[in-house]
Amino acid sequence: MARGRRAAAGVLALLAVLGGDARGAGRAPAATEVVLPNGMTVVLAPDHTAPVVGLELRYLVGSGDDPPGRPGLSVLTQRLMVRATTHLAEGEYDRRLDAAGGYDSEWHTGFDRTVFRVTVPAEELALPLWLWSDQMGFFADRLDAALVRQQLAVARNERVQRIDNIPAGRVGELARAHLYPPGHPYHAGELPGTAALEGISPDEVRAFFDSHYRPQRAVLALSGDFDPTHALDIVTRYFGTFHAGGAVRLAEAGPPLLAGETRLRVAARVEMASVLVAWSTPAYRRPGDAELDLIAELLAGRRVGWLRLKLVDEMKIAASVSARQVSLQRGSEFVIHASATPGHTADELVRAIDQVLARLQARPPERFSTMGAIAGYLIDKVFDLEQSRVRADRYADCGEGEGATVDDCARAWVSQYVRLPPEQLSRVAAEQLPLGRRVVVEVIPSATAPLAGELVDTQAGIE
Amino acid sequence: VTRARALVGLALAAGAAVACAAAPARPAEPGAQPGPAAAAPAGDESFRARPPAPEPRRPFVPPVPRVSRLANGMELMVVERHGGGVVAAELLLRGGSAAFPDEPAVAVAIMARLSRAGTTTRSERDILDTMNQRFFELETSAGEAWVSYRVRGLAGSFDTALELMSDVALHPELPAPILDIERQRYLALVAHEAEDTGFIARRSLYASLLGAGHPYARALAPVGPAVARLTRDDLLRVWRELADPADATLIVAGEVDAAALAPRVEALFGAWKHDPSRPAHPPVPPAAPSPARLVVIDRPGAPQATVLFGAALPPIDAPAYVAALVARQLLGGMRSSAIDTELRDQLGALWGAGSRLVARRGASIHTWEGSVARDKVPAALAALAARARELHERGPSPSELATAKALLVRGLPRRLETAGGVVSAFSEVAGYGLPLDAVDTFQARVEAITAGDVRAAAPAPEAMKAVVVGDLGVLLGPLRALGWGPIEEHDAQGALKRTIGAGGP
Repeated sequence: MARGRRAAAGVLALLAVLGGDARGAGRAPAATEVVLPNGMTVVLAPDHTAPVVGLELRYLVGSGDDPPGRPGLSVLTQRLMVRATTHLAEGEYDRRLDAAGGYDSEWHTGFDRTVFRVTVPAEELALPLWLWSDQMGFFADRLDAALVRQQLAVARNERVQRIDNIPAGRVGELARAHLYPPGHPYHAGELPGTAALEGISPDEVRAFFDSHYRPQRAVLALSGDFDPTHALDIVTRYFGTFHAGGAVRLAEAGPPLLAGETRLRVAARVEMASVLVAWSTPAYRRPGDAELDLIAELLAGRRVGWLRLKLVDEMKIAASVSARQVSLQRGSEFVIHASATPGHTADELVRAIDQVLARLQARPPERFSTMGAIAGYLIDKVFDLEQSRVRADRYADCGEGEGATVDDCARAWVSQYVRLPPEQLSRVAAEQLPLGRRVVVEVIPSATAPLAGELVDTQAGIE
Repeated sequence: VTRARALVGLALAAGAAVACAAAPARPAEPGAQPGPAAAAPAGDESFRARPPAPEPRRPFVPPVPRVSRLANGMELMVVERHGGGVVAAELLLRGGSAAFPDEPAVAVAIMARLSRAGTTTRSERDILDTMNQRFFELETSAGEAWVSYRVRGLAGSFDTALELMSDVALHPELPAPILDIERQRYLALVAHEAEDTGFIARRSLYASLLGAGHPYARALAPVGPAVARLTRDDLLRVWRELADPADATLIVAGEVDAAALAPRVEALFGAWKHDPSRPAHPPVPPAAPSPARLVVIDRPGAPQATVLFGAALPPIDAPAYVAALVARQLLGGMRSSAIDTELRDQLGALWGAGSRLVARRGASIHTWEGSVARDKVPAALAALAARARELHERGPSPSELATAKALLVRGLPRRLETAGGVVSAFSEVAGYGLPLDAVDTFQARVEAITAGDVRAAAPAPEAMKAVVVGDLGVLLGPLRALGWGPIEEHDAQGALKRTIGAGGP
């Protein structure tokens, strides 16, 4: 009934690895990676399935690189990059993209990366490149104190919306403050607020930008309907003349080694108790990282969900559970979250979570659970590669790597999961999720506490 | 001027010029030097002063499905699109929760969810095992207008996926023990519902715009008592009333051969019998809005308020719907929307805001939603109302109109980029009974919209309602001072607590 024809770049190549369906994979046009003389990496992945192009520009800079005493500066800097540059008046970035039919326009600053994304009609390929090149090369001219104040206010509102206005919204950053020691790039949290930035001068923002947002720290990926030679011409025209310049060396760090269990009690204006359990785990792409992705799926994914089966369905002590490996460049974190049903406590949740973890650590999951974890973890990620913007993100990720080709990297990304034996999941769970070395945050409902929560008790170094 | 760090075997048409010899050569970081700005360009850089001219528009022909009908009345729509190796499909049964005015809305949702929990010949584990081994997704869900069974997978797995879909849709077991578990899951979440301020605000807004008994408002009603009473027999009755081939459409898009697919569909669905005695689905009733323009829900101590501002717009099958779609773009539907820029950057009232248009028969609902700083809520509402009045009385400026239309027209290829996107587009056609060329003519219909059309489609500000979930101890006085008339206070379940008269505090 179904028949295969010429494969699309990237998508089928990846699917072929997983599905054992090699049709077309060898014929698929592959991605090309180019490094401009100024150090900027460019990945070109043509795919003519639809007349659109997904683009991503990422700088290898994030909130983990904020200067001491200036937490939040990278978030503010990105807001200013989008707001106005030399050749773009205030708000023109968004207006130009909307008028060109640009979809999925987004930007964000994480711990390690500053990312810009958009999908445009194929004939508008040059527009985002022009916009982004103006940010990279002509950031400073329109920057003044009024614009800084304006975007500080927006950043303040972001912090309130994402943390202070959320029931128990501070739990994550409180956990991180204890998971990562002072001095670690992640200690201050991803969205530390703007208190330390009040009164910052435009010159200080400029200096931070000049030393951090360099071509050699930039990876640009294009995926979609374009001619790669033509696309590279445009990229070179817009970005090739920028000088590499000097660059501040970024803070290096790894996952911290916890000595014992730290248990925090947080009072928050919430309806029910909840608990968050966090471990320090191997950094992105390091041994153990992929296994922990599957372990999270095994514990709380749609197709398996051992924690859901135990805490929600069997014991009826939880309304919801989630588990996730948050993969980061300088040390990841594995986080389990559970919300209690009426009459049950955070401590009960922790004990039940520990029972499930102990089972996983003691013996490998059976084949059904392992297959469910692999399929459940990969299914959306693989099929979402039909979208050019998702492919651009994947190729940008691979563009960061050294050594292997970007296509090899993309294929390896899928196959690393498919090949994991159940024994390895069990072993990694035992090694990386020890019950005695972690941070546990118990959230206690309180009618008088702040909505986002306040720390009321800390017990550190519990053996 | 460039060096290829990694040259892979390419079939790129003109890739040779791009790639020279492989030579890993990322320039080394020189270490800690403040250095100058990244850009110190030389030569003629005047091209940077202007945006690049777009290249000639690529021809884009929206897909047109091949439509056929089985002898039992089931409709089949197929869009062949080769090259991606992926197939997506949706079987939709027209008549979602709105078709059951006497049943709790959640009954249809649970029936759909439980369909995947086992058939008369397969256990849930069998179903999951097949999905895992053949690497495809099968999801079941229910909305107000139809029940949906969706699959997405590799072309090589599609036959298995389609067979499983037919079994789940036509032979559900709806096992009682799993209903017990599902009931428990729903009830457990009830206690946390109040923490989802966007949801509770939407519930009150829908009830206010449409009336609490309207099927689209009932779909958001508290589920506790209804779920507690639900039995397996209720679910079976719902399924029997919905599952009729005369009200079913199967949409398939992607790496398929329509000619080869048709007999397979006949084999899987041909024995499904139409029941001519089945009652027709009731029409969507008219809206019965409540008089208050402003609804508040208390959330003590919240530093920001969740604000929803919305109106009922023309239904998806009305000629004016496309103009309403453009109007929605202009009231917060674009990143560059004037209202969002005003509230975020000029007023300093918020960070994130969004706009959604839920298109339906009977009435579509447009909502603007934002998390607004507590002290800026009245000013934000005044700005929203002013913007709505401007659109309603003067219409958009030429440049605003052009941008809003361009985003819809030129964004269409992106919406139809994936097999799943194509299926979604045609599930709207099949689910709402739209003309078959609705996708094909979409761009032309948007292009034809004038400022006058937008003005006519934009609701008067008096017809728009707002829901504010925030700290009433601080907010109530300033909100009354807005002069929007009586204010209803709801609890988190959407029940009316009191009506507060207009005027000062």
